[in-house]
Amino acid sequence: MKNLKNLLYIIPLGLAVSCAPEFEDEITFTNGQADFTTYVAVGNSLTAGFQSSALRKVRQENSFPAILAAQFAEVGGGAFKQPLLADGVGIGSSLNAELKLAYTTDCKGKTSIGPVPSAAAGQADQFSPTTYIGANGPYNNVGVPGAKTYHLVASGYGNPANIAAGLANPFYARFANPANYDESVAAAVARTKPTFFTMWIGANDVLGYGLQGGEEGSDVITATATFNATYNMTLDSLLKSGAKGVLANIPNITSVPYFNVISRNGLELDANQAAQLNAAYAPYNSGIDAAVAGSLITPEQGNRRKISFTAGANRWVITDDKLNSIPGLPKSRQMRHNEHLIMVTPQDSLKCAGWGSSKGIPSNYVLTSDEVTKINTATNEFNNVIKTAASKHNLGFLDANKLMAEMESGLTYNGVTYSADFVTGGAFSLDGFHPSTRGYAIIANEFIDVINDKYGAKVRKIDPNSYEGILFPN
Amino acid sequence: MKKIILPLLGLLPLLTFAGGFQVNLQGNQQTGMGHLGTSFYLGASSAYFNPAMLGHGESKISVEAGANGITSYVIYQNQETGATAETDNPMGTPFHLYGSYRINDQITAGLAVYTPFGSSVVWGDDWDGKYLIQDISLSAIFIQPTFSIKASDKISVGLGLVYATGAFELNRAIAFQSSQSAYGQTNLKGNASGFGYNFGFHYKPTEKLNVGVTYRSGIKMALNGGDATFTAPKSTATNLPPTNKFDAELPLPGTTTIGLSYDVSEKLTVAIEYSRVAWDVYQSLDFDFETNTSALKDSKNARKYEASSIFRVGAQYKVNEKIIARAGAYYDQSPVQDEYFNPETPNTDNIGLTCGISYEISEKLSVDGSFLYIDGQERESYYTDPNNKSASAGGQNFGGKYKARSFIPGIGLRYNF
Repeated sequence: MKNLKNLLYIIPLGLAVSCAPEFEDEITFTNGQADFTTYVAVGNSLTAGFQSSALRKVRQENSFPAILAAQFAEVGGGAFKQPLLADGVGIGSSLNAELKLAYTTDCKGKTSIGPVPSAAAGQADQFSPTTYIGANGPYNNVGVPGAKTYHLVASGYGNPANIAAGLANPFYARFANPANYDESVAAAVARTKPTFFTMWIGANDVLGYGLQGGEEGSDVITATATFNATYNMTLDSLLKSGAKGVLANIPNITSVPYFNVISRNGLELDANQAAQLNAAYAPYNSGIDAAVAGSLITPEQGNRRKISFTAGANRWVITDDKLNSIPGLPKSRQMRHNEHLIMVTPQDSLKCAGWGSSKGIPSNYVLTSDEVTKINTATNEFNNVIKTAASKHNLGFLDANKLMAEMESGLTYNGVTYSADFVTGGAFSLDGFHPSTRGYAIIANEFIDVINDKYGAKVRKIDPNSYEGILFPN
Repeated sequence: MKKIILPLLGLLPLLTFAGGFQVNLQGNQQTGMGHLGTSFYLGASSAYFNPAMLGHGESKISVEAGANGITSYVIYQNQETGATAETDNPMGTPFHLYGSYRINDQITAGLAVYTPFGSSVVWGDDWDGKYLIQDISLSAIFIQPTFSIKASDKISVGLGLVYATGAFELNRAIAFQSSQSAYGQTNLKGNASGFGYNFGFHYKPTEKLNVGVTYRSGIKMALNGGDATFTAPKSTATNLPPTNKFDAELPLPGTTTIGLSYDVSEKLTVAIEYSRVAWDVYQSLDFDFETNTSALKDSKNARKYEASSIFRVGAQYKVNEKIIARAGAYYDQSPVQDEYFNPETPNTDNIGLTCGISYEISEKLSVDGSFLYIDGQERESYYTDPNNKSASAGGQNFGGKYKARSFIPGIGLRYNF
């Protein structure tokens, strides 16, 4: 009986002494060889936190530099000042509000969800000198939406007087140094004497070209020599104070949803429709044959211009201005495997106005294979400049181009798979080329990986899933 | 009588604490000495431990019933973000009922009802791993008619046929957000059943030495027509039908055990056992949805378990005519590989320490008390989804350090007619 009593004592004792277990070692976070006292982020819209076609205060607060600065704070990071807008719907380059996901009805009366402006107009007052906040600077986040590499060294890029002439950027003017509006971005950040920096610039040097379907208007691809010179000028000004930092390269922009959400194979036809279109293009195809016979074009060129349809998915018909002129025939052909339609191609024109089937899609909506080649060549050359600079100055290097490639096939964080698919992929915002809040959080984690690796630090990473995702309407 | 009891008990969640989701608590006497009993007779519970020995008792009819209360904890720590989590599992209550009837000197029949598999893990709705698992409850009840033949004084054999019935429910978050809710929810719920068998062999080469061997077959638990319910923003309904059906199959592993016991003296018996559990049957947990859409493909989740071993040692000591004291220990390997560790079954290598005591209230009635402490060894493991490349450093999807601990008191009654 005594033993039984003992057992009865032991049971509750066991329960009371220690319940949940504990881990043997605590995790220690450290700054390693990096000094985060004064962190400065230099770049374009990606550094500013731009998404869904606008800059907006709540997005700025989740910019990747803001996320980084919050993580640096635990390991010696100082204050991080951002040029925040006032609360509101945000402001984009055409004074628009941020996009949101909502129900839309197309020309055929079919309702689906898609991006629409969240308000009729953006916060245009934020571009008015009365709301300028430059006097409260200098700012740690110097991300200027729309900035190209050479803009960062341009004098007067923040001068409100130059905006009308297109020589200054209203996103920069609102927080540029009013004591010296002509000071370049590079000179302004040098004054803050950074101890640590991130520099991510160059996407607009190729992106602007692509956004307009490769049309060479005012927005041409930057010359590599100009890129090289101005990139290193900005970098040198950051390095003056002996700062350490990370350089990020330019992702392959043709992988973003903006260039892929409308499939080049998106013309769905039934057998009847295909037969009707084939009949309609018979005179065109005969005209091509005649042009080949008359040696106006080569047989190979002829074959590439001929148009035919089958039941099922078909390549869209586009207008290609680079094609040889053939009297009486439009410069039409079907899309090729490496060509892209841009996201802003009017859907209703595709669905109801015969674009891409009975008539060619205008070339300003199409990235042709030649244009893709130009973009890829420039991206590679610019990325070589960035890689070389990182090696030369022994800086951390974030291969954003590689990250983009991985994102295409899907990247999983804590059970959620992010991809380059529009909306459902979760990584891109509703404009199809800027990351979503979670996309920026993923980028912040990638920066932390580089910093931890390069500077022997252990900066705490974040869980991208805990940031806001794309909001679906109820 | 069974019909009334079983549905009620079936509702009670059980708990992971042995390898995989095996629950090794089939007799309070055996539990008290490291949960071994393949090579010696301890009453009607031999129907589970070794059906060959069911006829080794002295009474014509024996019955036994018992239950355990499992309090368990699993802790988690992400090594990159420092985030921590701790399970809030409900108390698990596995139980067992046994009866044996000696038909003649050679043949004994019996019936066993027990719960050798189960799991109830609750991480909570909003922890870091919510997109893998929020909570899971899995229970299986085995009903086993048993026959035992005493071929000679030295050799017995036994056979049991098993009908297994179980329930399954899982909740996990899905990454669809609206202004009202930060994430959606998947609920999968259904009942499963399957058939199996087991047999046992007992040999007594000398007066003091006993050898037992058992084989328990694996069972494929088939779950058909389970309910899949998705809670997500309304605009996703065409891609994610709110109500759907699913089929799944959950393989339960077979187990082979060999045990030796030696009567050191009239009072002291020592025993050892080795079990091999064929967990390698559990390669994937697949949910086959009745309606598939672009956003809802059939879900294939790699598990890639490996066969695992359990080593047990135990002893019992007759303190006096009425009291028997027991103690034991075991080492139970986790079948989960470090690359395929899913918090749904947060299974560590376990060291079990046990003690127990039996008290004979009367010649017919005895009570058994047992206590089991399980120390789940710390491990750093990650879940890798072979279908998706993963982004966290090291290339894995979700993981970190895990550690577990369980406290399991139990009580049982035996009655001999």
